[in-house]
Amino acid sequence: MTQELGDYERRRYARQLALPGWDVAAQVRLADATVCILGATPEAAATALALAGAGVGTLVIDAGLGDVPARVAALTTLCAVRVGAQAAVAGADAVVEAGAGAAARAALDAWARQARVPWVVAVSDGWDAQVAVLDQRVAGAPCARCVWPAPDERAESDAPAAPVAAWAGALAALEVVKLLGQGGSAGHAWLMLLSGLAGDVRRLRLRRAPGCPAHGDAGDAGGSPGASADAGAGAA
Amino acid sequence: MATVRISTPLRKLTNGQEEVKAEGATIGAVLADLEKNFPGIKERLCDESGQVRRFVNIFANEEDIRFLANLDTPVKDSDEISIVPAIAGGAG
Repeated sequence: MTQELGDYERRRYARQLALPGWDVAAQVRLADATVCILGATPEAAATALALAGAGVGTLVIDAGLGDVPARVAALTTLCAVRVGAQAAVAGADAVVEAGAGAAARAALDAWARQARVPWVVAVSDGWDAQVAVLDQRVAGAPCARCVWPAPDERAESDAPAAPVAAWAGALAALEVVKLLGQGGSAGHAWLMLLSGLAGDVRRLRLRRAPGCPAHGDAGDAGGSPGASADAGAGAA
Repeated sequence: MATVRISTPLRKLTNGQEEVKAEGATIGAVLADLEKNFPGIKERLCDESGQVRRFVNIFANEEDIRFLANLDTPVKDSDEISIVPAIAGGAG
């Protein structure tokens, strides 16, 4: 484990290190972290580049992301990129599911719940995007199955507008940075919706669903399935 | 009339509109009014028994109706209703 930052790292991350709530220890935690990004999508690419720029030490990405390893290498020498399969989540400190599909999401959900690893969903569809944070380190956290008990078998996703996918990827990366650096978080489980056409963002807090078969318990003491409004939300 | 926000996968049924108006004193009534103006949309949102499908989340003023009274949740003219199906992603 890295104990300190070298001179080069201190210079490179000088602006980030000056941020309130962020310090050398947080930056070191990022440098020591491995983040797995599932999906070969624009959201996945945007996530990878943002995480590399922020100082995550190791990324495991989908083989379908093409030139992303080269783009990361051009951005920084401080991030190792491994091209891995889905099984690579096993060693990850955090995972981003960026349009890997319903089956991959379900498998990740089960694994993350068991391994108590935080994960983030970042998906786009046309002008809309959804980013969800599910921090499985937190007792009582909801899982993806609490929020989406079943996939939409008839769903057809449109190709996302490029800035919408970039927004989703960048926001997912920001949440991973906070989750790993412990630099504060918007909450351990929430869903953020971007309506690109309307130009607005809504945030909803997610809660564990009573009766969710994945947990086999009474769920959130707060009561019902799904999500509730997060007071004071509304802006990214 | 309440404002209903329609997410991308459902806009084919609302002639591409992202925001529509619908009337009704409850969420169920609003969905029925939507169906009247945009035939086929209720079938995408509700199953054969009339319950909201499991992959659809409906929010009344950003509160999940499952935390409220489901389809019996009261609706006011000033309310904003958001229909949020799960997005699998992966296109593009």
